[in-house]
Amino acid sequence: MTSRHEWTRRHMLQRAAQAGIGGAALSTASRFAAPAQAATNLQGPVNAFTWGGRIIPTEVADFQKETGIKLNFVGASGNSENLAKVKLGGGAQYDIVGVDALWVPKFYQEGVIEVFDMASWPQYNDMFDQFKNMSIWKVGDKFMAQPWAWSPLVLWYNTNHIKTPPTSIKFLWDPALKQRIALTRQQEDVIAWMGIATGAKKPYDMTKEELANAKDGLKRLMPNILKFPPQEEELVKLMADETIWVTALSAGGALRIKDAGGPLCKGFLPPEGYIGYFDGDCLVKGAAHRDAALAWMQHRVQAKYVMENFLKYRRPLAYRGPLDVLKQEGKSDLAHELFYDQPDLIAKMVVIGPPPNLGDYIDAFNEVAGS
Amino acid sequence: MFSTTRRIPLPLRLHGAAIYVFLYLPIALMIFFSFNRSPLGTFPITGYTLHWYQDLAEEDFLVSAFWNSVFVAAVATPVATLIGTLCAFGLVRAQFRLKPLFSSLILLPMVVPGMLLGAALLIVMVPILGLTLSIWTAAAGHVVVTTPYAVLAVATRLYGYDRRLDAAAADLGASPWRVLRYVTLPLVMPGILAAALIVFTVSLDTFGVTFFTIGTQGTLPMYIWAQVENGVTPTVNALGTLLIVGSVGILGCAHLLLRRR
Amino acid sequence: MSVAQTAGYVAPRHRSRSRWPIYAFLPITVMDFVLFVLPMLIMGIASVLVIHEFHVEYRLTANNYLFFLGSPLYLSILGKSVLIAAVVTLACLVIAFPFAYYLTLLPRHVQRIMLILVILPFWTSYLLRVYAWMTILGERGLINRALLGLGILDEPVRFLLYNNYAVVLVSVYLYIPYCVLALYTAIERLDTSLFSAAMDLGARPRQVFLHIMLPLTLPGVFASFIFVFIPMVGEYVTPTLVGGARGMMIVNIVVSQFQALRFGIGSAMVFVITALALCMVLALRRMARLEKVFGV
Repeated sequence: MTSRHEWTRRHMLQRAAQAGIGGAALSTASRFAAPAQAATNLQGPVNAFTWGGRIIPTEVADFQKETGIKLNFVGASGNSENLAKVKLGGGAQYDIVGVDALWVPKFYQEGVIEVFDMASWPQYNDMFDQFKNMSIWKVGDKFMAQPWAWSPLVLWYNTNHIKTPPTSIKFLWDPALKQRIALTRQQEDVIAWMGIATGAKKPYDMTKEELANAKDGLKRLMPNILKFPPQEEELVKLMADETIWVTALSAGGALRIKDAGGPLCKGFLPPEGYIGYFDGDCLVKGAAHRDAALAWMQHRVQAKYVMENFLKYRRPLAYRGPLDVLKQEGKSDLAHELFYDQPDLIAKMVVIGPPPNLGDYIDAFNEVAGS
Repeated sequence: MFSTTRRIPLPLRLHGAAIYVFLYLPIALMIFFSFNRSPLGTFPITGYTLHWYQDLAEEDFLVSAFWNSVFVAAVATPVATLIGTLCAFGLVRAQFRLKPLFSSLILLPMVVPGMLLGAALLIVMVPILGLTLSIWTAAAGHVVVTTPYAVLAVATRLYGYDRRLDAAAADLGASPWRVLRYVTLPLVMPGILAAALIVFTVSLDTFGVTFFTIGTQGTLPMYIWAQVENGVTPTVNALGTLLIVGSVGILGCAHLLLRRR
Repeated sequence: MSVAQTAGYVAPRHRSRSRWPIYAFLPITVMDFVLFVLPMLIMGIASVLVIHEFHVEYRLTANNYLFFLGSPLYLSILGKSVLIAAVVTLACLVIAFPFAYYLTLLPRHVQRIMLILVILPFWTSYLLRVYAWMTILGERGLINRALLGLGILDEPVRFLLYNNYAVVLVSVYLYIPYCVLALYTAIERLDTSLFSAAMDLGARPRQVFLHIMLPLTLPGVFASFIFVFIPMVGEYVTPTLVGGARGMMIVNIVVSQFQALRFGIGSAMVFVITALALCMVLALRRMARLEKVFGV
């Protein structure tokens, strides 16, 4: 079984490479300009402060081979902690920081990141229009972040135990799900889910009353919640061994659960709304290894790495390459299941961001979960 | 229950055996899962494999994290041991009015929650001292946390020290330096070595302080934390098994050193 | 050797002794000042200033402290943390006491090996040990598998993991070696002839324990409080991993304040917790005779 998976994977990578070469021919020689230039006079190492799922070992090894520059990778935790750390450490400490959705403008306002020009980069033309025209991430033609992954957070449920497909987010409160739900620990996201369920207009910018309702929702939901694990992978594991039956995970959640030896799960996007994210790598203001960092950012969006990253983490990326390969392979169903062919969802999701009253969100969470 | 002979009552022996089961059950499981084929790192048992040990060799970030940990501990150990030894000599041999307060303050870095001390250190190191976080700032953080252990270990040895030995050497014409070099230090050395071992151990496992004071090169606990957060793979179990094997070796050496007392 | 001659040699020794404190305390004083007192001082200053995210107003306020000390919720979480720490410490003491006594009864060379076996788990990563417990207590974990296999259970039980009991169990596991060390050192120094004397005089084992053994080993008990109780109040990892949805302890709350970019409130909490720790160390230090703890 593993070997078949390997075969598919290698095959897909080959297809991706072919597609990449095609793309390069279209977008003139600019695709190869960056690495060639990089080899000459860049100062490293590149200090990347980002999430684990953003970096695959092969691209790091290749980058070091091609340019002689080492990549140091520090695992990031939450957006607000990252903001505080980058604010303190600045460009001397970090060259690149991974940031989520609406946190990007916040980082920019706080003056910790700078904009850059991406139009000449490989795969730029391959990027979805939603990202090319992401006005909140742009100053003029320049970008605050290099788009990477995106996904709605899907409510996945175990079909062995939940026979009737849910039709509303209200199913989370079903007493039959006692201790069978887990959500990631990020407090403001949990509260935002509750906001969606209780009809808040802007779940990441709730009024006092809306926040009180959301808090009440969480209080009533607590008997059903087993745990708030720190990261997504633990949710996959809990779903796989059927400790929990429902969770919120990115696209491809059912595949990850199945790969972990878990049961058949189905996903559900509640009609009341759902949280989603898109993330990117930002260039830290005054980065000590600015040029090397930019070279790295260009290096990693090459078609083969985009494809490899997609195959490893199986959530949609900002680039069309893997989608095209899936379609050529006759796997349009898979692309659809992963929402890859529906970038218009980006405009419909309740996007992760910093609530203006972040403290109130965290208080609300603590008041329910701490009591 | 209070026997003065060497016959140990059965309940005590059973209790002792139960404690060792309690202490070693998780470690046995960890070793067991490092050879289990299931990629989950837990049950079910699906077969025997060495695959996870091979993976270990290929994990560049993991290997460098291991060496970073050893480096930090290797820097912190001599520094903390030296500072702690000096302080222990002072505490045992000097009397002064604020000694209780002073010695309590000295112990404090050991018991303040690491996450909180780390956050406080970050604020001093970066904006105030103008340092760039690195493996060296992490080592400095480790020295702060581990020095109290060194103080305690050396002080323990010093309290039992018969000062008449120093006096005798001095009477025989030895200079204070020679007394220290040829009499005091050799006799206190097991305590100093024990201190170094304890510092090294604590440093290897320090998480909270490292979390905030490390630069872009993570240590082993940081790597494992990221793994635990991302779902532990059997590769981590393999690593834990190797750590235990290495520990047995090092503790064997420690045992020999401590026996010299 | 004449008295004068002896005195002549004693003099330099006295001088060297008097110099000890200055040289000896200089490194630790400098280090602790720069890397402990100064950070705490800055937290102390931050805790009385008005800070909104990254913008500091140089205006004094008590609000950061009021937020924490005036909040029944956060005080109750502090109380819960202290309670859990107390339960863990007591459990450690109750389990470790007979064990430490048992160790002292073994032949000398066996004692050393047995003690090293107690310390050995320290040498694997703390995080790995917490994680290993998750594979024991989980719904598909060792205990459930064993009980299902033996036919004792029909359905796996779920109350083993992700609650306060799990936090206590795993913490006892993590901290008990410290406790064993401290108690062993205390018991090992006892003169066992006291027990037989008391027994000869008609004392019952319970009386021997309460009136002779326990009072004489109190330093070890107090040392356990320093090594187990205080760090346990500040546990972060264990409640995060095995504590379940309501598992937060006080340090989780402090970290959440920093996550909320409330640096003033976070600093006030750090300051209060550090002050509490200092008070406890001061109170316990003398009773614990800490210098004897590591007499392995």
